[in-house]
Amino acid sequence: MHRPDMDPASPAAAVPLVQVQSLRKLFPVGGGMFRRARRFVHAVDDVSFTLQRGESFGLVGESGCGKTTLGKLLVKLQPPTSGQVRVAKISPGAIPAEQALGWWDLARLKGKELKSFRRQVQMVLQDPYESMNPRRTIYDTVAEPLAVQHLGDVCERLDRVSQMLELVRLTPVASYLFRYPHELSGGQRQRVAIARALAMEPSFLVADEPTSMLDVSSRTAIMNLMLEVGQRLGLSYLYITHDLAVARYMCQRVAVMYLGKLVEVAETEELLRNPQHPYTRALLSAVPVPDPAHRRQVEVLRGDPSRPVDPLPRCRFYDRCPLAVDHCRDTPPPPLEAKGTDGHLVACYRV
Amino acid sequence: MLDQPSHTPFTGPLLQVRDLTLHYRTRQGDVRAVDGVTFSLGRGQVLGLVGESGCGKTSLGMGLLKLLPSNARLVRGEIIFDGQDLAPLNDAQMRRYRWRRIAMIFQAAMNALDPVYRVGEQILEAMEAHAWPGIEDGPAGQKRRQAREKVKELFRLVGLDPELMDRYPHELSGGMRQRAVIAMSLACRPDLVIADEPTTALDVIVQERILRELKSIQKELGLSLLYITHDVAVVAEVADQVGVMYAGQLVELGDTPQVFHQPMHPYTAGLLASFPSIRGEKRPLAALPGEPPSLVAPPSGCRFHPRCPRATKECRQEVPPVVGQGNAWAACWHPLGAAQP
Repeated sequence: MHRPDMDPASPAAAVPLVQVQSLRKLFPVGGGMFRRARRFVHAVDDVSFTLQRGESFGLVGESGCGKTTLGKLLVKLQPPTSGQVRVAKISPGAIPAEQALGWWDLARLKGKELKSFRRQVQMVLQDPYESMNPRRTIYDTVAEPLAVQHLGDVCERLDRVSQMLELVRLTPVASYLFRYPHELSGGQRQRVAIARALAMEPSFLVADEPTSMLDVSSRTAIMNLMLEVGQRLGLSYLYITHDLAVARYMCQRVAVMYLGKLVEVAETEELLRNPQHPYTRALLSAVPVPDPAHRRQVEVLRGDPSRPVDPLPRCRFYDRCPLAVDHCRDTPPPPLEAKGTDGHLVACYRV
Repeated sequence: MLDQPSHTPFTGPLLQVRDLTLHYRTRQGDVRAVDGVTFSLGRGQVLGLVGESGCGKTSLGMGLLKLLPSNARLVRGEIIFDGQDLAPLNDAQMRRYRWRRIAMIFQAAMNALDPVYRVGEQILEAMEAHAWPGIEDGPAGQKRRQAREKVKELFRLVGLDPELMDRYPHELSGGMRQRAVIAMSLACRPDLVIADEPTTALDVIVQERILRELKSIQKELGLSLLYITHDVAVVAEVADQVGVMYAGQLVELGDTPQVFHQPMHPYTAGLLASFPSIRGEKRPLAALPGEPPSLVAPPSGCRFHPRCPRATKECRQEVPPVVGQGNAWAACWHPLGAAQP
């Protein structure tokens, strides 16, 4: 199977699909039924980035860094506290170079517009065991979004579902259509979840750790499938993962998140070759390499990530950073800005 | 073979497992979770056991301590630990070995800590239940004080602040709890530690720290370590030797560099080829076709044959021979990079 590498300089890749501007999500902590919460977890804190059409954009970070929350904000499963998300309107099945029909502002979406937004933006979740109704057959599961959107009659839906199952290689299709989720393995269920997401011909798919529950061999098969289908349908991915090796395989660009903030964004290979932010450097140095001859130079960090509850106005990484100086403590968090090579963004005063 | 000298103590490998076979009785039939597994583990050595979920690696680890559910049956085989076969021992006899001489760190053991007791208290309680192993005899209070000192020392060993002994589990992060569990497993200075996915639920920076500590403790105390995981990269980091399990059987065993660089079994090669890395050239990954077989009715001949690119008629019909020698072998009709058997 080949890796469909996309040329980032191609015109199709230069058309923005999702624009995120100063996005922020706070969750109250403490408080109660009658008491207002006074303290807040800053799960997503002033995040801005742009995702191009046809691009696979990776979001990596440790558990609790806010990557899942950010994913949910982008598909409007949660409202942001402040900031803006805009998604380009694209007619279903349009080729990547085709003009967008305008922009959706997620904060203003409702009714019919929201419904057509839901059609264009889909999500695949981590746990294929929990994200499916055990009493519904595979056909029902994949056809459900079609029914919700009132697309096609029964015959057309059956056609569409068969087509999708074929696309994700659950073949022969007839033998899968009327089975139940418990009769399938984890890898097969995740294929069903992908088929369900793709049935709507989305242009943007948020995949939240879609392979982390799977075994090595089904994981690779699912990753290859997503790459191939993404290429064929001109899909854009936001690929959320804690595994940098997976992000490398799946994504052209990667953003590293730490306690609610993006600390570094770069093209994947550039990020691996030339990590700038001290957190990225430590993270990369900790990833085990499947080669016993490889010797890593580990950059050891102090302490553990805390929870960003009402964080002080300083770099979130200050307490653990090997490069920290007084300036980092006394100034607001550093902005994400271009350093060195094109498009390599780093949020650090010290590099 | 055992080359045991006439005098004691026993100087052969610390652990020798021969033809270990373990079945679970279920309504669908017997699940052959572990089938004819043979290997040995030397003193101060680390053996990594890799395989996908359901390949029997956890059953094997639990089987060595005979910590098995009631529907499990040790069908045959020997578990020779320090010269003594554990297979025929009953539960009371096994208690002399469990934790004291063979300790186990379970997957997500950090979640097994009781939330209403302080962390250190739980370790002390376990020591008390085992009649204060390694603590000099004396009045109860004195033994307890000694044991407390010992737990503090263990906390330092695994890189935890001894103060944390008096905290409750929820006050500790996942990585800290897992280290507390490792400290607990080391409390009796065991000779062998069986670690089953001890870092799987943890973040990579924490995982790296724990692996590094585990490895240095292992060296310092001269422990033998059986490290069970699905993660090929972790095994490359910690293990001196690697065993690869597939469908209840050990299909390849060898020194870590050799298994990684010159795998003999096509399953090993397939597993390695499907694992992404952040280092080296970016390469396409090849997924193994199909899914692992059911262990109720495993395929005939070589269990890997339905998914194997090299399978021939004999693979389908006959159990594959063992090729290679001593501690570097594979069970395969058509091993890679080697002469045909």
